[in-house]
Amino acid sequence: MVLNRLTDSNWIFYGILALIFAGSLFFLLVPLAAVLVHGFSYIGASITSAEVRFSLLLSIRTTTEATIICMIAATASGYALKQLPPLPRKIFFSILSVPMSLPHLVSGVALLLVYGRLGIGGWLFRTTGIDFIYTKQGITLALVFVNLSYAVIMMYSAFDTNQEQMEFTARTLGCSKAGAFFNITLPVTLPSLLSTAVMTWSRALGEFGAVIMIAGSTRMKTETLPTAIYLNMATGDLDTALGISAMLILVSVLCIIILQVCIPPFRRKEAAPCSM
Amino acid sequence: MYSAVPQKGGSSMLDVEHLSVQAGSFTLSEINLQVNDGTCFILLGKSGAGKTVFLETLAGRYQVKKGKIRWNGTDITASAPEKRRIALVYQDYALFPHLTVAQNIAFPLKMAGIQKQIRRERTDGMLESFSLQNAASKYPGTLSGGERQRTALARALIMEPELLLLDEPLSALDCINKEKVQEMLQKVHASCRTTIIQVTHDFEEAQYFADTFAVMKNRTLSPVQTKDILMSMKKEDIYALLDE
Repeated sequence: MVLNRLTDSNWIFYGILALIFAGSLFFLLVPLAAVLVHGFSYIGASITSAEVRFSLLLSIRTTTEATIICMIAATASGYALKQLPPLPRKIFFSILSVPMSLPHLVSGVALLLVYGRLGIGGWLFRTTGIDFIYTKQGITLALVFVNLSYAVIMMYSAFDTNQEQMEFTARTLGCSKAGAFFNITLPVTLPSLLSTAVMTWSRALGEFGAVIMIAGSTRMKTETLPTAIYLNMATGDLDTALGISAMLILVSVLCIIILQVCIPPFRRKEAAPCSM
Repeated sequence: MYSAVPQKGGSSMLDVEHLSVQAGSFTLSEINLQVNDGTCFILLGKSGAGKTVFLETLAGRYQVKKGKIRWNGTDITASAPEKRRIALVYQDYALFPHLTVAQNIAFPLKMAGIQKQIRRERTDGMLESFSLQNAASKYPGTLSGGERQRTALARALIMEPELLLLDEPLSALDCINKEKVQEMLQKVHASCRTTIIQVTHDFEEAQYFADTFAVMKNRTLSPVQTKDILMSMKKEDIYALLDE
């Protein structure tokens, strides 16, 4: 029987799938586990460092600011995309996907060009005093630029066609277009909105390339957690770098737990499809 | 709620003239229809004939390419859906999943800015009329098909629309719920002033409710005929008509 199973093509197929799956898991989890094992004990020491605490608070502040901006823009943009006829919608969707596939260093160069002193950044600085280069605002700008495409695509997918029928029903019941959006579409889309917000926040927290191009990584000024890892590695302080890395992994795990545990209850109220 | 005996016959309320509409890649053309005040017009047709698109066009979902829709003499062709006083109940009910049954029913009153106390009273009245008191605090995902249908009907009727559009109201129901909702609909037809356009592909349902009827096929509408003709037809005749 065992010999039969070994030669059965279905079992061979399952066996190959299992091997590739196990290999992928191993490849992904071992490095993360190594950082956690070596770095966990340095988390406490890292937190006591004024520099790391500054980086942590700066990262949380700029990441949260960027996430709020991204979610407002992405919700409106994703919804606007849904209103377009098919061809323009496809074109704009493709254009919006480009920044998502750019290397983040290239995104940083693009931001420098536009928001630096030679671009509109110079005019902004002269007229309003707002400066993006080597500043905290620059970090937020970089985080928004790098994550906005992703958030728009996620929110566009969240506004599915079922909601169009519900929205139209709301309009026949006396709702304006805006009323239908705020009273029906947004609440129904809430689980997807929360998931997108959590993922955007998680991605923004780990951003390095675009941030370092536009804001640099000046200690105690524009040093975020990812750039702190880089600086500490560059100066040979492996323990602190490992401690910060372990912290970031734990934050990512927490984000996944929130996605899997805290958000699904919001979906429970949604109607099951009426398939009678 | 159901306060007046409908005046069947009389001057036409709904006038559709040479209506052509494009909904995505789907086109309806040269639809002409008159439906009298307080009557029930049955729209028969096979799946994909364009019945739902026609109802949605009457309710204001699609831009009309050609033709006019008049309601009580007023041209409503370009009017926004919320201005038409036309309620549409979809085949799958389109209940709002984040609201309870009571909140779904009260939704039109809330949008109209009606005071909370009056909203509560009218909602309670509807819950009683449609036997939904026990389901008031439930969410749509936990309701039976019959309860969903009654909730959708109650929500559509609470603002006393002038025209009620029903898209295959009984097709998604099992036998037991079908009978209950059929009785409910009969009460609505008998006691409500509202003019009704009901879509179905079921011959017996058509005979049960129709004052007048027509067949939607090849993306256009056949001439409107009276109930007498429908009652004199056999099921096979109607299905042959749908298949022509």
